[in-house]
Amino acid sequence: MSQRAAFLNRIRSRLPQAELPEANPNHPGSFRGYTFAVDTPPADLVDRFTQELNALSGQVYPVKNSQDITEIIQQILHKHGVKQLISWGSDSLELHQFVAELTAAGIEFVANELPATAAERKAKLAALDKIKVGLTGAHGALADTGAIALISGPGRGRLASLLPPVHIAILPQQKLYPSLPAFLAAHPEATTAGSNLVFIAGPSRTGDIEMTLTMGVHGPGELHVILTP
Amino acid sequence: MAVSNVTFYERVEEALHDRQLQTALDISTTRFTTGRKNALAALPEAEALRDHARRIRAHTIAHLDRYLAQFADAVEQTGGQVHWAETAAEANHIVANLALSRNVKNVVKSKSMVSEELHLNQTLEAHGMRVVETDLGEYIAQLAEEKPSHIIAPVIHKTREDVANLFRRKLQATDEDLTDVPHMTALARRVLRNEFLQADMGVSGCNFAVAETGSICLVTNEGNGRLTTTTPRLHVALMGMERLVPTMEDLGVMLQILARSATGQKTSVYTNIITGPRRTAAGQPVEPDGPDELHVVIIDNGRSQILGSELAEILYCIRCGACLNACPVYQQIGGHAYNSVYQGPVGSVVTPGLYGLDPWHELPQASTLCGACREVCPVRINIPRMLLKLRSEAVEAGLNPGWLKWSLGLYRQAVVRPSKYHFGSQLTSWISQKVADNGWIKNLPGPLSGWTDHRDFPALAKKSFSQRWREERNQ
Ligand code: SF4
Repeated sequence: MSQRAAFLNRIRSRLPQAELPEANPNHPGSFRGYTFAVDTPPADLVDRFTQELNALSGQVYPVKNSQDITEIIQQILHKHGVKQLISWGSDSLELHQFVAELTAAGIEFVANELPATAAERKAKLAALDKIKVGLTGAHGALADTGAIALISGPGRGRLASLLPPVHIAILPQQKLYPSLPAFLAAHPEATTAGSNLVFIAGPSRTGDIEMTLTMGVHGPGELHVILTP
Repeated sequence: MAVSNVTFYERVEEALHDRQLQTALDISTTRFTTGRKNALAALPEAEALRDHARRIRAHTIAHLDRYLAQFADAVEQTGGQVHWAETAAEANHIVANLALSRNVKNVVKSKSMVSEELHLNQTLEAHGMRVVETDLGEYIAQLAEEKPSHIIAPVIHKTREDVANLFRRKLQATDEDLTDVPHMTALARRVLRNEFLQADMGVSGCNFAVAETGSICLVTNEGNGRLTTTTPRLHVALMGMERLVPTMEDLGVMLQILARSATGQKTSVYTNIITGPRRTAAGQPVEPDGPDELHVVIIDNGRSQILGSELAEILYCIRCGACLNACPVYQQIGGHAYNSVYQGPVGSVVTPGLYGLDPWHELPQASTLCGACREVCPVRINIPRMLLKLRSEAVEAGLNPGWLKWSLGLYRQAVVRPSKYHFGSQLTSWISQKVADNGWIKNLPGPLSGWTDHRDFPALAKKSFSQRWREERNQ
């Protein structure tokens, strides 16, 4: 018998003796059809999202056009004294004319493709680790928690939102949802579209030493969300 | 599982006299319990969600064979590989073989309770590999060569001075590195970042697995869960066989209550959902990063034993830790006294369930049966019912201490004969008044000291209830 068959058979043989309150084996689907409460009307989504993300020490910048994005990114790069970004491909970024403008101004957009061999992979990681700012788009955002959703795919790596100490994300306003369940209901494909769907709610944090809140322990310590119309 | 020679009561004794631990427990359990309360109060549908979450867990466990099969098929469809481990030894063997065959030298781990069950670190280290825990708390525990003392906050028993001394000794930290908690955290980030960049294999646990999509969900605040599953080219996820939910919608329900119950956060910072290894087309990667290989090890290690019993309900658990924080016993003795991977009320059911009541029969006693655990449990697990069940099993198996058997025998003699009972209760009341100090009994002699070593209790009333009842009726 295969390992799998033996494993599942063992479970099958135990199930009849299991005392499982609330389980309803005769009507397996009977608990379906739960309706989630929605407490943020569409008109309040931006305010609620901003408020929640601010509470987690994330920044929100509503913008009108690509020019505004150029300025904000320049300010952030200037503050950290750097001229490089690990970035998603420009076709995955909203209003991406700013990429050309910033490139012309001497800013370097680095893609984070990791090579297949182990040694090359480590070398590339070490090089990427020196870059202080990461730039991504976003596939959605949750107003009730201030989280943004990112789906991996061609030109959309995970490292841009993970490796550098600063993460900038560009989020179109129409991608705001009241909650995680609402986002999942609207995007059933989100989980399987890429190998990774991640919800990011503010900068990385820990409270492991004496429950003292500290930012940026492994992931970025700064999160800037640029909200496009 | 290794059992230490120090008895449960000796560990309790030690914990109760550890001032630092007492302060840490006070602060952390209070903060977690208030956080949880506020977070759930702010969620308009919290109670309905908890009911629903409970039904989802019940349904999943009742059809576990079907959902595991569906999950395994889905993982394989996305290019991942599934391994089945009946025992801890099998699971260790699988992971060690994967690592050896891929020439793995450096391993990074993000927090996994199951790996503690397996003692995986020791196994990999025995093969000459370097294994580093990356959750800050777990890393500190690893440096200190200690076990985590709380499911969610592994080193709540340590002060910042403890950690500073540890960093000085083990990481050659300078005074500047140790200025304050943010500096210490920054030092740990630098050291661990290097480990991530050098790692050949990442080992993670699994908060939830989704049957319909073959996804693994990991929640962390620090981001170590993401790094562990992104930088190394090989990702191994360890999954207790009960960690499933059927659909993504169900996962949404669980995520709405998990962080709120655990830490009082609305959400963890990172909710990381992994579906297969980095995608390829025609043998070439089409995603920029992520692991080239994903292996999911599904682990039984005693769980099917629990499943076929009256303890099956404990498999609904989503490991939030709320029952630890709410438990008056945990609040006093902390995690180490349990000497087990799973602590507090949930641990007192899971540990004897997984490994048997012998030698774990003392754990179900470490409860006042007040019901606080059941009250806060996001999936409303009736833990007290199972603790009682385990206690009576322990009695049947003759595992209780001698003095308890002796005194219960005496008690039985008394209660079945009213005259003896009245005499006995008057005598006890009289003695208790004599030995009490300001109305509190603090030290009983001989075998009775078992009752007073770790707690005080009020002296018995001068007159018993039935005595007063008779007197008042006669007036
Ligand atoms: S038993 Fe309930 S409260 Fe305790 S850890 Fe599990 S889910 Fe949380």
